Amino acid sequence: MKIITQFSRENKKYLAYLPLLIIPFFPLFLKNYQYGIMLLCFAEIYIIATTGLDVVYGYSGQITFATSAFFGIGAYSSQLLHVNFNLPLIITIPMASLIGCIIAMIFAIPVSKLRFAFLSLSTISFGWVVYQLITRSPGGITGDYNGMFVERIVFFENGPDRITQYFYFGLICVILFVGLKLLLVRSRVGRAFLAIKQNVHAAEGMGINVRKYKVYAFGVYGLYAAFAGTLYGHLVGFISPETVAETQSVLFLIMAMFGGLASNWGPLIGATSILLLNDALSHFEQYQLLAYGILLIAFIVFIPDGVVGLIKRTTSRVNEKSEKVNNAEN
Amino acid sequence: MLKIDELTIRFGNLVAVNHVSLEVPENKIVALIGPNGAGKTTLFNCVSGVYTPNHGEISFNGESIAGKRPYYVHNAGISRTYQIINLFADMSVIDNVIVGMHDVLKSNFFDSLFHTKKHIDEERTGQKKAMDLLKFVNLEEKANHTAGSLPYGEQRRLEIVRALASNPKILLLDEPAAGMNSQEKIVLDAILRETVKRWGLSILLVEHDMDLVMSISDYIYVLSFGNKIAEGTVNEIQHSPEVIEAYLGSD
Repeated sequence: MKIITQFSRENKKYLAYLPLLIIPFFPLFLKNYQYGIMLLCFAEIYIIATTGLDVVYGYSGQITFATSAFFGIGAYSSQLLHVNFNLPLIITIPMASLIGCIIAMIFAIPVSKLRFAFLSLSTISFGWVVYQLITRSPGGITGDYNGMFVERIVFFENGPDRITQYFYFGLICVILFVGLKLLLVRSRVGRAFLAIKQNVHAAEGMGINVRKYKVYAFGVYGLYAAFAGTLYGHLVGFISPETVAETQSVLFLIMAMFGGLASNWGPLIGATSILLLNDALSHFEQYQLLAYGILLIAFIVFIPDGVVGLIKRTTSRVNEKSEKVNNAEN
Repeated sequence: MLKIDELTIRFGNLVAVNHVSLEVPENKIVALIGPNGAGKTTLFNCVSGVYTPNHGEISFNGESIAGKRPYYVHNAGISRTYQIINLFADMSVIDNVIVGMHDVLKSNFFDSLFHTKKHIDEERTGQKKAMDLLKFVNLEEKANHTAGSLPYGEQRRLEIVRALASNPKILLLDEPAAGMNSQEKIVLDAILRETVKRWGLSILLVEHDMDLVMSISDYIYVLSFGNKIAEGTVNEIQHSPEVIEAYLGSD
């Protein structure tokens, strides 16, 4: 009997994932509403960036306000490589992501010494530096304050429309990048990240080269954020310094925190819901930042462990109750 | 095996450890005792790489380890526990032990990323070894509890096996009996003896509980105000007038 209940519980766990199978069919439902498909593409892009942020902040505990800077590095590098060196996008996108990864690792070498407020300030400064370089680029190659047009990706000339194609491409990327992150955090490296977050002295005392692993975490972060940036640029077809702005970094942090840090589903839930909320608020543009601010404070105070944490807490409470009931029956 | 020679550590004008020399031979339990503020933990922190000594030499199997980073010292074979419990409180008990194996596991970043066969095999043997270690200190039934939820005495035992997970040659134990009741202390006594026997390692122990120290130590060093005031076997220390004076004060 016990085995059967256990088995059905396991099955229930997988049943809960069943609704996810509907995701590939979204474009069919939204056939006459292309803006909706576009929003889904943005959700995919933000999920990838937030997943990277979750590795460095959620798992390794290193706060960073530079996400939009790496996002911008990816978006700008891919297009600049494409225009100036005539490389095809299939090469410039991985190259730009790698550039993001390498810059993040180089940045992390000195910064990995810092903690808390000092670390946040240094990541904010890094964002400023990137912003300045983009707005005052040598020879104006980035279009400075005006921004620049970016080559849009078209996968198949005939077939479904470009945005729908992009949605499926993005979906594959999400599965790949989120999948790799899940593998990474369930490993020796992931355990080292968590150990550093929980107790940096004990981590170092247990033989973990803390600085090396911080550099790794930043590398993953830079790669993910820059890759998401390239996807953004080649989807929208236009990038500007606004893409790199600091408020965007805060937005990524809100996404990560709202979803729930260091969790499987946190980045997916967080990025999607904040994006949709953001879109709903866009009609009241002058109040957008105000709403963000208030929401951020509310999250931090009421659900510091995010939606995933909230769900976990509620289900564990329900389970405890049902266990008590079971025990009483026995 | 571990040799500390003329070690001196100063914090500003305060000399925390003053020209102290000591030695930990193979397969022995060596205790470091002394009143509060004698510099015992400071000396520990120096050996384990938290502090860099101002003067003196620490050599381990002939290699100088003074001023090396803590992870380096650990991976060289000197593992430690902490006076104030320093577990990964939100991790499971078994994961704490597996983090302790960090350096023993050899899979690299890409094995971790792609879960290669090497990674899978290692995880399996790691889990098994961690379970064996938990059995050794009677914690196997709590393997999946979060470490922070354990009672105090169990947390202390978990720290010991976490330190053992890397197959160290020397175990530095900083007040392992602190906060334990007499029953738990008896268990600890047995665990420490068995540890030395089973793994053939040495223990350097800082401890205030004299019953435990006198029961298990092969050799004892006594510190007072940063100076080494005595050394010897249990019998010699118990009858040393300097030690009695340091602990009880002179007339």
